[in-house]
Amino acid sequence: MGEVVSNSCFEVFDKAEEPERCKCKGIVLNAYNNLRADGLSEYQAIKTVVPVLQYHHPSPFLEARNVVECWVFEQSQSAAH
Amino acid sequence: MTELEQRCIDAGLKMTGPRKTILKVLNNSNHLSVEEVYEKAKAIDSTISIATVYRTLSMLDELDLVTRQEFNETFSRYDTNLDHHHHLIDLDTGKVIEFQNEELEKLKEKIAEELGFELVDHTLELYGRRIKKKKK
Repeated sequence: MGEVVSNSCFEVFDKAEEPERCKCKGIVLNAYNNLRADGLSEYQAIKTVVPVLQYHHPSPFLEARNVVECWVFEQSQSAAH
Repeated sequence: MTELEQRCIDAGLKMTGPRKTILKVLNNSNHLSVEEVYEKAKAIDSTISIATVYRTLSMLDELDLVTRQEFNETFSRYDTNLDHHHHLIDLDTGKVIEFQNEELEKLKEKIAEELGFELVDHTLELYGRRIKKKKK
């Protein structure tokens, strides 16, 4: 059997112990959804909420952005199904 | 009728069906490229051509009803120039508060002028935590 590759956001974001159990995910997605409702594009909304995640879990911008993009994608997939 | 449509009429633009569709697309999204506007408009009205989209956006740009932004890409993106406001994001809840402040707008223009520039565009996001009142 080949190696199983995990694509979870937890693997990507190693600055926090359990980021997905932390309240920050809800806060970040809440801000993202509010900005999208205000008319911001996905690109602009993600860029704007990255500092929110960085506030809760200090990390480089690119790393934090990857996690936010992952959460946004997961949310869209959950909504689709 | 939307505010953008009214301003187009005030500016002397004839509100044809395709133009109304394009304005509707612009009202519902930000930072769209010409191609994105075309795709969304075509989904509403299949008769719209990309040439119509180009012409309409150019007209709106000339009338200062939209802003053309050059992101770090090879094409432009367009935003409507209505209801300019900024966001204050609550770091503890994710709540987003929209605000407008005339003094802030004047200050930004003054800063640009002092540096020898005419302010063309800006973005500003505030991030904060609610001030907790101390219990007496």
